[in-house]
Amino acid sequence: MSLLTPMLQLSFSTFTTGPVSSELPVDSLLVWAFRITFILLSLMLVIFSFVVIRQIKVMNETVTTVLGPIFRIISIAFFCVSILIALAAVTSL
Amino acid sequence: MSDEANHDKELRRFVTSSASEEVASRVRRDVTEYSEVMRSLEKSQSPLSAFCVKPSNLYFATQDSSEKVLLLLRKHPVTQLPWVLLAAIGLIIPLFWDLGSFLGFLPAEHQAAAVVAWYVALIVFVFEQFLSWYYNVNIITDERVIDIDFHSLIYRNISSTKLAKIEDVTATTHGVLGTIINYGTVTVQTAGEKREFEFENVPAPNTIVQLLNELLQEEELEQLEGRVA
Repeated sequence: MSLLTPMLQLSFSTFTTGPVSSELPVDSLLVWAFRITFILLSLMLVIFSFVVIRQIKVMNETVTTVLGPIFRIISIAFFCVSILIALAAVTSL
Repeated sequence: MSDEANHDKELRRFVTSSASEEVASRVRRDVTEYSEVMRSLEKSQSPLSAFCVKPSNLYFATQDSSEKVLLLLRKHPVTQLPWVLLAAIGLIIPLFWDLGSFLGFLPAEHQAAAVVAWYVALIVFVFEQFLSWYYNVNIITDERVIDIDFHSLIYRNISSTKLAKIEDVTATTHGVLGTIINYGTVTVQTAGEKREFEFENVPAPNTIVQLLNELLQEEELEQLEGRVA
């Protein structure tokens, strides 16, 4: 265990941008798990928001209402925001 | 001679068009002529209403040109309270993260990202639930009953039945809330392929049943008098 800890710290320090911290490797693992999860979720969000755009189109074709165009605009805005989040997640985290 | 022929032709055209208009007007009466319910209800103005009477600017996929939408029904807003409350709780949950130092192991920017992720997930949840409520509708026209279902944004089911095929209409009100606020389930039994239509948790179920009965009576009358289009 005493040998493993510095090795883990060394391996994680290659991925982190800041100086090697004194935090436990378990914390670093959690941070990396968080990063990967966040990036995956943001990519899933992009797919989901695209599905929402398609689905609102189908819904509007099925039942045409006054609010249909507003929902369409919201869904497109949501898609744009999801792309921004995904880009931010990939580049910043 | 040619003038006379033209005159005859014009006269025949006039008589024919008048007759066809008369026949057309006899084919289907306006709903307010025979429905006490439709006379008593006022036309809805709000597009978010769960009980839209003669909604304006509303069309559905399989609507005929002569078909008029009489009622558009959604689930009563009270039945949507569980997810609204859940969203309201979700709105304040990140405020407690600091207190419990739940994300203490993360750097500051990651904590901010976690809060953003939480609120985005909340927006997704609310948007999906709202769309599901808004587009899951039951429509009553002067010719048919239509049930449009969307499940989880990816599954669509549209069923319709002609009024002439309806055999039985039942209204069920259950629970204290349903009795107080007046909402319930209307079950329409048909002789068609889909045996049963359920309008779940719709407002004023008894009024809907009364309207459907009036429409059925008019449908029978149309058949008896030979006014079927």
